[in-house]
Amino acid sequence: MKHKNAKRLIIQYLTDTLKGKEKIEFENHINQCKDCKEELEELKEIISVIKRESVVKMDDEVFERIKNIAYKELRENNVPLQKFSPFLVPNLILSLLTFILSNLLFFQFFSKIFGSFSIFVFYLFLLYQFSGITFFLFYLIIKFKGGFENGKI
Amino acid sequence: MNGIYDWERIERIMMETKDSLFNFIYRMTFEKEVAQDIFQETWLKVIKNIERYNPEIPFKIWLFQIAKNLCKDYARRLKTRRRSLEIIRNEEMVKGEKFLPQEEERLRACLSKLPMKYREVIHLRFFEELEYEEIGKILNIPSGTVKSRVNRGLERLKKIWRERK
Repeated sequence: MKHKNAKRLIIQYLTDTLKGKEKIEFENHINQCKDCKEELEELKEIISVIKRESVVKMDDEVFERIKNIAYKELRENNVPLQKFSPFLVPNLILSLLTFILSNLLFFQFFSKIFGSFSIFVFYLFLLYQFSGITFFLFYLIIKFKGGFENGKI
Repeated sequence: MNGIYDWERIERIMMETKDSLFNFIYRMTFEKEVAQDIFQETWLKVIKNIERYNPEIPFKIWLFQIAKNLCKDYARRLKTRRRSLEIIRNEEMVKGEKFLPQEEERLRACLSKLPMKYREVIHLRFFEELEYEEIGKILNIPSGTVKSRVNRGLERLKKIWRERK
């Protein structure tokens, strides 16, 4: 192998990208050429310093502080309804309108069928709807908030 | 990283990657306080975007990608103040850290003169001992480019190393 070529391949040799026949030829050249050998040793030294020197350690206190901030961020970041924020307001308005209209229609229906009992039946019907809504809210909390923690949601 | 509420898992990864991530950031900025800030910013960004994480790529790669982008933002901010990262990392600053061992001081002085694109590949290749493909994923460049940057970076580092002898 020519000296010029070998010089060009020193870094490739050190970064393990030199393979096969070329690698063998390079190693043969290095054993004979003082100049290339010196350069190889010099680069090896640089790389070994890079590998060896631990630059700087983060203080444990700082790390703990960052960990606490990250934990807080994780908790704050996981507000489930934020995920649906673009749809939340129109959905709520639509649901409310549907709720009011359907109840008005049902009340008319009850009054025709049950007469004087219609108010009582209508209250039962409302209770049924509210319990459904409550269960649905619980479901949302458990699914997106990860449940209850220390008595707080 | 399936459960977004899985703090224990995040905490474990934080502990495992603490030194390597901090050293990577430090080698890009050369300022301990700035490195701490970027370290914190990296983790906050990870948590904010945790649902976007693609489990097909190793978490460490994603983490380093975020850190790398933040380091670049930092360098850009410095440049807008007409103080590029290369200029601010001058020898005066390096000499200011008297407690550093001689070899480390020399390495730091030499690395500080390298452009960031070479510094990052050299750090990831030789300090983190990552493969070219992994480095490519972190830096979002082809592995061939990583190879050539490592070669050019080492070539430059060698010259600077000699000058400081």
